Amino acid sequence: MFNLKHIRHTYIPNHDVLSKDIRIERGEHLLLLGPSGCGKTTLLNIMATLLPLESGEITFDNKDYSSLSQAQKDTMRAENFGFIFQRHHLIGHLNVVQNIAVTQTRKDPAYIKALIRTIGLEGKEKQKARDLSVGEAQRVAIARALANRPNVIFADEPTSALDDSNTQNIIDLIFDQAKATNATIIAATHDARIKSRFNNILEMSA
Amino acid sequence: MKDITLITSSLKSRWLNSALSVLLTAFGVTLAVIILQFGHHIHNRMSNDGKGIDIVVGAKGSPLQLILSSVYHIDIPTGNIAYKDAKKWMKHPKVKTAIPLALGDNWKGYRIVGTTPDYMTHYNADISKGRHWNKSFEVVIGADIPLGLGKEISGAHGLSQGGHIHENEHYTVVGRLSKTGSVLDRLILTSLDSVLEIHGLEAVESHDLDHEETPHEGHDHTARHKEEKHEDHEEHEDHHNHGGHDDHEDHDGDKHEDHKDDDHKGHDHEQHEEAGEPEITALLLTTRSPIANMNLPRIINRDTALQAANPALEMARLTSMLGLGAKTFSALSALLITIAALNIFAGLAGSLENRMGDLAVLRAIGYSQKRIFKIIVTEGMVIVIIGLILGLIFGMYGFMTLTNILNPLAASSAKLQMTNEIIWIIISVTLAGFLASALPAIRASRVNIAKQLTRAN
Repeated sequence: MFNLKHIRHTYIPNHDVLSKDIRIERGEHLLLLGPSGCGKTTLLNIMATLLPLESGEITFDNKDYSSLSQAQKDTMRAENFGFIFQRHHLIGHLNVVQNIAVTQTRKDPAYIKALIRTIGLEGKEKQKARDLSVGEAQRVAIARALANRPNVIFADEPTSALDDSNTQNIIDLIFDQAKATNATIIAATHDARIKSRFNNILEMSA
Repeated sequence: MKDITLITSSLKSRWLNSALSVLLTAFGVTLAVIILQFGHHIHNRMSNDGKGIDIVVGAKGSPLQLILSSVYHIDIPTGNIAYKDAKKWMKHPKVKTAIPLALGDNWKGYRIVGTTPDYMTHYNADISKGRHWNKSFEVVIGADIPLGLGKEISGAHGLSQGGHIHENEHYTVVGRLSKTGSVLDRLILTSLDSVLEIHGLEAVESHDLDHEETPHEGHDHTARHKEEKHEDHEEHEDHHNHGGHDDHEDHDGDKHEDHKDDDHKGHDHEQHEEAGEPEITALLLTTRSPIANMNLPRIINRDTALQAANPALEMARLTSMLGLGAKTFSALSALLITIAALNIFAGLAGSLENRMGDLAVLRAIGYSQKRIFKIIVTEGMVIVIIGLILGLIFGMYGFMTLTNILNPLAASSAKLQMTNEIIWIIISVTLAGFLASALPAIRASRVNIAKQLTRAN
């Protein structure tokens, strides 16, 4: 599904992010592991088309990134990718349901309801995102990433703000949902707690 | 999720800011509507009421006051003039038409104007009900006067409500004029003689018709053949009379009707009260040539005790003095609309910094730049449209309220009019609102997604 070759990105001058060539098939997961500042997030963003590809070659479902227009990339993200950001980045003035629904390209309220049940926020559907606790917000963010049944889930430090037990729950949740939709998880973390869940690990160094 | 949910939710989350922007836009539009309607009204009334009146002749004093009192019927007159002095100018060869006006009384604030039927002809006013007056104390009323045919009214002394009432004499309404949109709509018209009689002055129209019309027609005829000479002659005569012995004679107080034609005196009106000689308030003249428009007033002002003023000049002077010109109104309106637009800009641009994270998320999950642009512009436009609608409603109600409580507007029967200016307000406010929201929207659509999502706060 993903094919990366000779990726190089000048993150800050004289500080290039380099990546080995990577090949990921559908349903496989990839963990980018390394200390802060090693370029995990940069590589993740490049794969997710959130950063432009400077040099090298990436294809997703045989679509070459360098040949896609901005609008085509937007559509590709909307239809295929789900995102869990470092911070939850919910839209504060929208309620829980709206924050999840925002990613759906096709309306599916039943699935949103099911996701809310899964993350244990039943009864808080109409609560504004800004009034949620950090843990609740993070779970809503995961539901949002899954709501459009993406083929790829990009997760950037999804557990950095969570304690051990919450971390386990969140990771379980992400993997369960990915399994249910046969989605690929591409995660970046320096959190060794979740290392064991991945079989493809790309260790990066600063 | 529909974008409109996002937009309304965002506006609601900043409800205080949004409400202020809406109100500021509404007030801007309100003031613009009122100012432009006011300007439009002034301009319309000035040009309608003053149309075709080249020169106004009346008593010495402020020329502006003379114009306002006798053309627009909003100020008090400068005084009265002797009818025989006025008549000389009515018959002047350079004068095409002359309408005498005798003011002095009112009914419930509506001025009773003694005049000739020419006054109605001048404003193209037709009798819509009843007939013209054909004897003294019959009146024809303007379209806005709340009276029916056959009603009897008593004039009150003075030109505004609440003067001494002439109990002994009653006017009878015999006709009503069609709506003209001019000052005539709010006047009560009657014969010159009615007004003169009620003030104990001698009638003039019988003399005019019986004794003077016939000889004068012959006179006019000759005059037309040698206009230049005639004017010179009259000018000379004028000068002669005034510079010479007239003053002495005047003070002797021995004036009689018989002398009317050869005695031409400036100060007559001072003695008229006792003598009961006919006086009128003003004379509305149209001339035969633009040159006469310039020359006649000069001659009248220099050589007689009368005053002549040019309505167009005086009104131009007034508008320039008060800055009531169309340019001022437009500039003021443009300023108000700019302020409203800047406020929308400030509201959107100010909140944008806090929303960049949200917008980056939307971009990341696949919202296109175009869609983000539309969302932000729509937020601005929602404010603009609500403000615009409220402003138009406030403005129209405001203007209508003002026309009822401000006397000059009420007296000139100001009415709300759908003018091009209102369409201009709508277009310019919408455009200004679009520009004000487009700039933040462009910035929003270009949000650096990766940077926003990874920044520390």
